[in-house]
Amino acid sequence: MRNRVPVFICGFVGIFMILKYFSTYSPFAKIAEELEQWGMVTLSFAIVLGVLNLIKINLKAVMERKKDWGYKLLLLVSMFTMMIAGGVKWYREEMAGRATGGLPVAIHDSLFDFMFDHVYFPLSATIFALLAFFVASAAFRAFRAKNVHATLLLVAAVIVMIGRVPIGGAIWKGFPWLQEWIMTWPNTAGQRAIQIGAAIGMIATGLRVIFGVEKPYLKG
Amino acid sequence: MNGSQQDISTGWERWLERFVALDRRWIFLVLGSVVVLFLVVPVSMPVTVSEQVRAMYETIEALPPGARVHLSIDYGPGSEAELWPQHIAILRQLLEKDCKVICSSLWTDGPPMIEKAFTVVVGQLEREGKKKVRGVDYVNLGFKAGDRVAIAKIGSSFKGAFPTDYQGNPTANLPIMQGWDTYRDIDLLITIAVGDPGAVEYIQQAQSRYGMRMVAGVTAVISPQLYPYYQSRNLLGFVGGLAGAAEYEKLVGRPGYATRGMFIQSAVHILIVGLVLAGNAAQFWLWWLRRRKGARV
Repeated sequence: MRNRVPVFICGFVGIFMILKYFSTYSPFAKIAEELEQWGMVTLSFAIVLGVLNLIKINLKAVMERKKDWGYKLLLLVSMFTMMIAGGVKWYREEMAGRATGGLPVAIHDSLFDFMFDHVYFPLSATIFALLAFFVASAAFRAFRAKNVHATLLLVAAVIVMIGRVPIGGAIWKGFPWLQEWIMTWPNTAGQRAIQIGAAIGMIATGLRVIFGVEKPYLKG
Repeated sequence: MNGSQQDISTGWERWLERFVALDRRWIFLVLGSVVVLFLVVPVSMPVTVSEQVRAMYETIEALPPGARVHLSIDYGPGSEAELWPQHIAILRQLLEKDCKVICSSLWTDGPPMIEKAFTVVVGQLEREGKKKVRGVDYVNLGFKAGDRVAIAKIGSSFKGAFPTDYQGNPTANLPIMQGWDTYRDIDLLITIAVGDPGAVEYIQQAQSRYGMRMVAGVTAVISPQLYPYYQSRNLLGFVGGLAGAAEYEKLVGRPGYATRGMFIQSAVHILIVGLVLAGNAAQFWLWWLRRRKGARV
């Protein structure tokens, strides 16, 4: 019974989602739309569950003074500060909106905005910017013409890298055209082959899950 | 081979071995120096507009005043350097054309990006004497969890997917939301996206189902995935990365952040290509030296 109910729910939902897409019969669409709403509510609960799990694990580590407990404490303090600041901002905006008779009012002088702009924003951008350094280092090590395939990859990468930026056209007028040709033809053909393959795999896996042949959601 | 020739050969070999296995911190240092140098000394570069960027610009330009546009902002501060310039250019073009801009996000850190862009663009237009009213001309519907499911739900009912806007006001009462509710009522879908969920998911879940017109702005790493959809006309145009944004800035006639970044990006690309070619030359030379040495022994 414990296994049959989830398999039944999964099959029921899956079939209605397919029927909504391929059938014009309106009750199918209505049921599928209701199920979509349930799906979104469930996923929103998953976020709450994730937050609760984060609190539980990190709070335990802080209480027991485990390794790096200071960072975990910082994480909890940051999370609660942002949650409270976000709640206060939301409340202020809602009250201001009611005062204008329902038109939304955005408040930009809140603690939430300050922390988003001056803490989260630069930290996030810095982490992402580090990628450029790792990409440069990885390209130097990985792009070696060791065989025919690697040489083809190397030549295509060099043409696309130079042709994609304005200096490519300044060096030789053919670079942007060559870059565009690689992206439009060989790249599109490759992408399409990958996407069709992945789509067929997805259909097969979807049908196996809907009909209960595979039950990945019962694991873990 | 006499002694001195062998010494020179071994010297080269040692030097080349060291270069092939160059400590990555040297690469970081050179790359950082190049970026800082060209940030301090800006150089302008001529920008050539590609076909897909022009197609996106023309699709937006063809919109009549009052057209409803769903602008999905699916990125956070991490991708700001690449996506912010196109976000600003596109939003300004839409508001200048008096389109009704309905913004939402599938990324948790997307709504503050929407707010920041509104603050910048609405502020610019206000200074130029064009007043835009929140809730009438534009709206931020906020974040929606659920990735593909959320896209499907948004398509069938905006008000159902977003009962309130980002500021907590009931969407059913907002003037901009009156008289329509689904993707069938939307004139154009635009997503500015960094990954999954993003442009590909919108094409699969919304565009292919409702058949509305769609364009996208994405990071350079995502743009190769969009070429098949552009060829099949699911996507009427797209902007890829900072280079695409610079092309877009040229088309709207307001060179900005992306145009200024083009020389830095050009210099970094040339540096990486130079490093790759030098690495290969060193590897080949090393192989040739060892082969010659092996043949003589």
